[in-house]
Amino acid sequence: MSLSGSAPHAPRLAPRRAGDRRRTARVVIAGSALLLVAAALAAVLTGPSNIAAASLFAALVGDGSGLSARDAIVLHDVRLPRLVLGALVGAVLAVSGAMMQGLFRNPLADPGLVGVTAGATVAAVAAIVLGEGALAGLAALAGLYFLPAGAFVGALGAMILLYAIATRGGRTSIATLLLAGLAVTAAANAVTGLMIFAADDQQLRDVTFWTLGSLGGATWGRISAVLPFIALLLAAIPLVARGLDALVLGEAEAVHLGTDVERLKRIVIVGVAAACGAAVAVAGSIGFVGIVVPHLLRLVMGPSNRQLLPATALCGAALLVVADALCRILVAPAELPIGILTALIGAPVFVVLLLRRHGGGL
Amino acid sequence: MIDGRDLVFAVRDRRLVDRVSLAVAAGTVTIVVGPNGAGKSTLLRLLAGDLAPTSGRVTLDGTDLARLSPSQLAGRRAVLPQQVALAFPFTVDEVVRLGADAGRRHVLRRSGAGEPGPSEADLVETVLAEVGLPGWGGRLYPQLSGGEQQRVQFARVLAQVHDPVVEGPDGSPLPRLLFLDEPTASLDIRHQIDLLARARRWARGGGAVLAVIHDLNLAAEFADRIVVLSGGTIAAEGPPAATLTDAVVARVFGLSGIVGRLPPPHLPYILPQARL
Repeated sequence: MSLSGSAPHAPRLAPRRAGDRRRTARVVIAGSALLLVAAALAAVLTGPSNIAAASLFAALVGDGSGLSARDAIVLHDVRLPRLVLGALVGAVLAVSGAMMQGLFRNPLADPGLVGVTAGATVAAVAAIVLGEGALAGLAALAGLYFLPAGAFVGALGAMILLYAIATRGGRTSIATLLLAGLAVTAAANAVTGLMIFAADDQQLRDVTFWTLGSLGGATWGRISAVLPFIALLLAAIPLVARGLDALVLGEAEAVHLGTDVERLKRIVIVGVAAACGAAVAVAGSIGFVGIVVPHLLRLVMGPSNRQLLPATALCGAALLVVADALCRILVAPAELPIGILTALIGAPVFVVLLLRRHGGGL
Repeated sequence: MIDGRDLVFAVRDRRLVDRVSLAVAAGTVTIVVGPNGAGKSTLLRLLAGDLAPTSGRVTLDGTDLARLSPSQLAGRRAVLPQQVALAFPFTVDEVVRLGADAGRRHVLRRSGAGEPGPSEADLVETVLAEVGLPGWGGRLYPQLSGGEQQRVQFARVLAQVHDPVVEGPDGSPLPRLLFLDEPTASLDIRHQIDLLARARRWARGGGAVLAVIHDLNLAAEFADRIVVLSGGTIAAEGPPAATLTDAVVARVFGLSGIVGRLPPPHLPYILPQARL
C-alpha cells in the first residue's frame, strides 16, 4: 500500500494534526462535486443528435426559446432523464459497495459480486413474466413501483441469505462470502433461466435488457418510481457512517464504542437492498462500480466512512454519467451496453485488489 | 458498581464459568489470573456485557446490563480487547479519535461542571503521549508492530473514559470502568509496567479497573485484589499477599516453591527458577 498517512497535498490553511485526513477528505468531496458537474455538462452535450452547445446552454439557463422543438424534446425527454438516472444509479451502486464493504469489514464486498444484483435480477424478471400472469392484480395495483419493489424483495432476500451464510459470530470470511455469493448468483441465474424459458417473445426482449445493463430506458416516470428506494439509501448515509467507522475495529469493539450494531446492520442491509433493487429494476445489472469507486477514494482520502460515503456517492454518479456518455459515442449510432464498459474497467481493479490481499489471508 | 452474581456461562454442556460472583469497586484495580482455559476472558466479557450469562446476572449500579443500551454502557465503560486487526488502514489518529468521539458523545456529564473538557485534538495527543507514542498520529495502524498496536488501542480506550468519574443526571458522581483483557501480552517489560501504572493511576482517580493478566508478578504489584480462577470457579480471592501463596500457586498451576516474599510490605513475587 502506498497510502500516505499525512496526505501531503491538502492546502495548508491552519496547523493540522498528523493522521487527521478530514481536511484532505473535504477537498476530495468538493472536487468530486465539481467532477460530477463537469460530467453532467459533458453528458448533456454528447449524443447522436447534434445540438449546438451554445443553444443548449441558453436553453438550460433561459426559457428554451433558442431551441428547435425537436432539440427541446431530445434535451428534456432523452438526455436530461438519462443524465439524472445515470447519476442516481451510479451514486447508489458506489455507496452500496462502500457500505457492504464496511458491514462485511472487507474491501472486496460488492453487490454485484456477492449475488445481491442477481437476487434483484431474478425478482425483476419474475415481476416481468408473472406480472402479466399470476401476479397481474398486484402488478396493476403497484403500477410503476411493481418492478422496483419486486427487485427490492429479491435483493433483500439475497442480502439476508448472504449474511446468514457468511457471517459467524460477527466475523465474515471473505472466502465464504465470495463463495456464498457464487452460490446465490448460480441459484438466481437458474431461476432467471427458468423464467426466460417460460417467457413469451415480448417478455424475452424486456428480460434481455436486464442482463446487459443500460440507461437507455430512462424516463421521468421511471425515475420517480425508483427515487424513493434510492433516497432510502442516500438518507441512511449520515445514520450509518459513524457506526461503520467503529465497526472497522470489530463487532464487539463497535458495541463498546456505543454503536448499536444490530440496528446498523438492519439499516445497511435494507438500504442496500432497496437501492440495488431499484438500480437493477431501472438499469439492469451494472457491475464493479461498487468496487472501483470506494477503493480509489480510500487510496486518496483514507477509509473513514463519514467522509468516504458522500465522496463515493458523488464519484459514483460522475463515473456512471461519463461511462454512459462513452457508451453513446464510442460505437455511434449504435450503443454499447454500459454493463460491459464498467466490467472492462472494474474487473482489472478487482484483480489488483485480490493480488494485494495475497498473504493477508482470505 | 459492577456486580456479577452466580454467573454461569455454558457452551453446550461445558461450563466455562461456573457460579462465579464478583463485584468490582470504584477506586480499585482487580486482576484476574489463572491457567489457560480457566475462563478469565469469558468472565471479563460477561462483566463487560459482551456475553449474556447462561444464568446469573450482571448489574451496573443495580441495573441489569441487558437493559442498558450500547450508548449508555459506552459512557460508563471502555474495553481493551486482546488484539485488534483493522478492516481498513486507519491512521493512529483516526483510531484514537474513535475512542475520544465515543467518550464525548455517550458521556452523561463531566465532573467539575462548567469547566470545558480538552478539545478532541488535545485529548488524542494527550493519550498518545501517555502510552509513549507522542506524535504518532500520522502513522498507519496496520504498519505498526503488535505491541505498538496494543498501546494505540490502550490510548483509544483511555480517550473514551479519560475522566475516571462522570456525573449522573442528579449530579451524583458515577465512577467509570476499564476492562483490560491481557493488556500486557505483546508489550515489552517497560511498557507492561507503564500501562498498568497508568491504569492504577486512573483507578486512584475514582474509576474501577478489571484486568486479566497472565504475569503473576505484574498482578502482585498492581492489583488491589487478585481473583484466581481455575476451571471456571474462583480458587482464591483477596489482596495479593493472601492469594499468591505457595499453596494456591501449587494447587492451580501445579508449580511448587516458586513464591517468594519481598521485605515489608511483603509483596509476593514469583521466581519460576526456584522450582529447580
